[in-house]
Amino acid sequence: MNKRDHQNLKAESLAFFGSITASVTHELTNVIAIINELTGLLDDMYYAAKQGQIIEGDRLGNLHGRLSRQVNRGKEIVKRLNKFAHSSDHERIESDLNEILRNLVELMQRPADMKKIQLNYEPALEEFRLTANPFELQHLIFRCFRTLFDSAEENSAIKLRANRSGDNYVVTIDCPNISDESPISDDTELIRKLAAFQGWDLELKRDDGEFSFILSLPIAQM
Amino acid sequence: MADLKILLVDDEEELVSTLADRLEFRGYHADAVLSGADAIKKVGEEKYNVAVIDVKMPEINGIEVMKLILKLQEDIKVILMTGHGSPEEGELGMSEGAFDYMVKPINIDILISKIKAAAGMKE
Repeated sequence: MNKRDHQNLKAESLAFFGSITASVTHELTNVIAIINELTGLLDDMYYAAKQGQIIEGDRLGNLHGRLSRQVNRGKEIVKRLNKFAHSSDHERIESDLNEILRNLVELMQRPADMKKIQLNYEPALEEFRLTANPFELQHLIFRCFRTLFDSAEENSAIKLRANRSGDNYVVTIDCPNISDESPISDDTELIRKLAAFQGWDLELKRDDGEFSFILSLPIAQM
Repeated sequence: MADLKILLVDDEEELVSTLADRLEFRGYHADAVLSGADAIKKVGEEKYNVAVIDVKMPEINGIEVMKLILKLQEDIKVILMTGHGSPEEGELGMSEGAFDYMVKPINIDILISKIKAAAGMKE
């Protein structure tokens, strides 16, 4: 890989980071907007009560529950974003593959919803310890998802799963409902380069309306 | 105030239902729907003075929803809601026919003031 290719990949990694943070902060904005309205409603009730209007206790209790749900939702979003941000701390580190994939799927849920696409993750039943670059692994899978988001029909379900095959962990991303005429975006070239740069094998399969990315990650530390 | 009909559109159910409650406290009746498709259906069935629509929604975005409901009811006034980082979406919406836009989180008093202005009511 030449210097320019390397620089291009760095730029794409940064774009990936930006895309995830933009999506997550949008979701956080919604949480803050809801908390803003709920606390505003609490104020409204307080002033109404001061003016003699009867506010039932159940209504206040219900409001408390609704506020708590949004605070917990916000906490989960921040936790996911924090985990994602720290995935760029090390070029190579041993981590749990299931955990990396689960976190990415949760981060990608909103963009998938916006495209009316279901994103399903089937975690492996055992822990898969992998020494690799977790940030670039997420980047590659993100590009695969985005490629499928652009090509799949509405209401399609994309399935992500990991299993062990010999000396490799194999991550498979399947999407049915992609017609043979449907163009697959130019990102596939970038996806191939990202895999090659990390020393991972990537296979793209198109078969009878189903499109798959099959990524093989060597288990042994290189 | 009771005669003013407001439609709230956002895929975040908790947001639109709470906004509707808060408007109710101030004497305004608002219907809340969770998708562009439901908004279009509602406007096809009833006449509204003002629609408050989130820009980022699944299926059809708020600007497209606005264009479709303006075809159904020419005189409806639309106020768009955008996220903090994307006020340019509001500007784009205004160039496409929105009366005004607001950046989330929403200030209820400003929203009411914009609703009144949209409906041609004096402050």
